[in-house]
Amino acid sequence: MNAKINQELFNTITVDSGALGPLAMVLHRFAEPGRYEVSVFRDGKPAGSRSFVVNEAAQVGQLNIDLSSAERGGASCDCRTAEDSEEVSPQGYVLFHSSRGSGYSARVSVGKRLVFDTTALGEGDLFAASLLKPGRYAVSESESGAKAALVVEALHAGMLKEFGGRLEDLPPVQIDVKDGFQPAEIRARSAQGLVFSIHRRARVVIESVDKGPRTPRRHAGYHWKRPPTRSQPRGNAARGD
Amino acid sequence: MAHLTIAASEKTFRTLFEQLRDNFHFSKSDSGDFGPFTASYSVAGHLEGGTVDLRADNTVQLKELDLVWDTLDLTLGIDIPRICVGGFCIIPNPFGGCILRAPRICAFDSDPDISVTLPLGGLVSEVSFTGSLKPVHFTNPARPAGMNAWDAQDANPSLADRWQIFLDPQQVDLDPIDVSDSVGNLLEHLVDEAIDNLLGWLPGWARDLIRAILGSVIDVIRAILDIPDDIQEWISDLLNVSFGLLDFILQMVLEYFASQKPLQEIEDPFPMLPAVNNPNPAPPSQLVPVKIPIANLNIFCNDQEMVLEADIG
Repeated sequence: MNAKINQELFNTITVDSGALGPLAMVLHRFAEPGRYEVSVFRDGKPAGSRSFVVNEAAQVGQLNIDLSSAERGGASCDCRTAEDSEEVSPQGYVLFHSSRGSGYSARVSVGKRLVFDTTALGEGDLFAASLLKPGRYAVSESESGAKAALVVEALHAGMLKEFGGRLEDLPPVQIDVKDGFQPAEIRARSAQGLVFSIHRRARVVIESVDKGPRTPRRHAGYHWKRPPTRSQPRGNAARGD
Repeated sequence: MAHLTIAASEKTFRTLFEQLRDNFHFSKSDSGDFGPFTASYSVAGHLEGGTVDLRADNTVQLKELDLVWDTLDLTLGIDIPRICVGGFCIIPNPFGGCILRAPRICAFDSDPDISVTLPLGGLVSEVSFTGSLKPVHFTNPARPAGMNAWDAQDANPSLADRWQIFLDPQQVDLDPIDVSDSVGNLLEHLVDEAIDNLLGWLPGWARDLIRAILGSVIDVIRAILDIPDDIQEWISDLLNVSFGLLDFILQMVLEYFASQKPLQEIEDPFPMLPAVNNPNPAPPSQLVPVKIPIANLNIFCNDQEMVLEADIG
C-alpha cells in the first residue's frame, strides 16, 4: 500500500474551460507557422511560461502542454526545458491541460500579439472534460448564458466489456456549442469523455447541482490592483489649499 | 557364523519406526522475485500414519506416510496496474483509430502494491519409500583420546561409541503439494479484500469506478501473474517447482532417515553387566561393568523380523 492517491481527481465536481484542472482540457489549432509564447496563469495570476513551435514540416498532430508543469517556480521562473522546443504541425492541435492542480489558464502570443486565450474559446476550438463523480450537473456557457443539464451515471464493473474492457475506448459524448448546447440534455458515464465543439466565443462551466460539499469554482479572471504610489496627493494639500 | 544374533519382530520394528517418524518435523521460509510479482512462503510440517512392511527381499517398505503441512502460507506481492482515467478519443479518425486523444491522469502516483497471504496449511502430501537397513559405526568425536570405554560410558552425557541402525531410503515417492481447487476463489477473495483496503477511504462510487476500470479482479491478477487457466496448478507449480519445496522435502526425508536419526543405537562396547559392589572382602570395592566389543554388525530383514548379527571382539 505504498502509492499515494490523487485525491483531487476524485474531489473534482466542477470543471471550467477557463480554469483548467484535472480532466479538463482546451484544444486549439495554430495555423500560422512560427514560435509561440505561452504565459501560464493560475487563478488569474502569472505562474510560468513556455513556448512551442508550429512548423509546416512537423509530423506531430498533437502537442500536449501541461500548464501545471509550466508553473514550476512561479512567474519569475524561466522554466523552459527541452520540452519547450516541441513542434506541432499547423494542421495539428495544441492541447492545454493540467495534470495536477486546478485554476489554470494560458495566453498564447506571437511576439506582443495575443493569438489565443484559453478563457475565451472561439470557433474551431474544443473543450474536453471528464467527470468521475456520478450525479446531476449544470452546464453553462458564460458568454451567451446558454445552459444544459448533464447526468453522469455510475460506471460499474463489466460495463466496459463491450469496449474491449478499456476505459479509453469508451466513445466520448459530443456536444456542439453554438447558440446553445446541442444536445441540451446530456447523459454520460462516470469517467466518459465529454467533447464540446465550440462554434462561437465561449467559456464552458460544468458544476454539480447535487447537495453536498462542492469544490469551489476557480476564477481565472485577471485581477489587477493599482499599486500604491509615493507621491499620492492627500486631501486639500493636493489642491494647494 | 556370527557370535551374536538378535531378532526383532515386525511389531517391534514398527514401534521403533513410529518413534522415528513422530520426531520428524521441518520448517522453512524463503522468498523470491518473479518479475511482475514477489512471493514468499513459510512452511512447517510433520509426518503421520503410514504402514510398515518388512519384506523378504531384505527391504523395508513404508507406504502412505502423511506429510502434514501444519503451516503453508504463500504470500504474493502484486503491483496492480496503474488506475488511470482520461485517455479518451477527442477526435476520432473516420478511417479508424483516433487522431487526438486526451491525456491520462492516474489515481495513484505509482503502481499500488497489494500483498495477499494464502493460508494453505492443513494440506497433506503422501510419502512412500523403500529402503534397506544400514549399520553405521559412530565414533564419538567428543571423546578425548585415551579415554577408555568405561569412563566414556560414565561421562555425562555419555561419550561412548555406538552402532547406529539407519533406514536408508533407496526409492522415495513424494506427492507434490496439491492445493485444493478452491484456491482460485480464495485468491480472488483475498485480492478483492486487499483492493478494498487499498481504496478503503474512497466513496463507494469511486471504488465502483476503479473496479470497473480494473475489470475482473481475477482476470487482472491472472494477467499480472501470467497465470494460465488453472490457478490451482499455477500455485502448485510455484510451490513445488519455482520454490523447490518438493526437492526440499525429499532432501529432508532422505537426510533424516539415512543419516540424521537412527532407528536404533547400540552402545559399543555393549554393557552386558552393570557395575556392582564387589561381594568379596578384597578390594576393589566395586566391580566394573562387563562390556563386550561389537564388530562386524550386519543387519537384514525378512518378511517376519529384523535380524542383527555381530561378532564379539
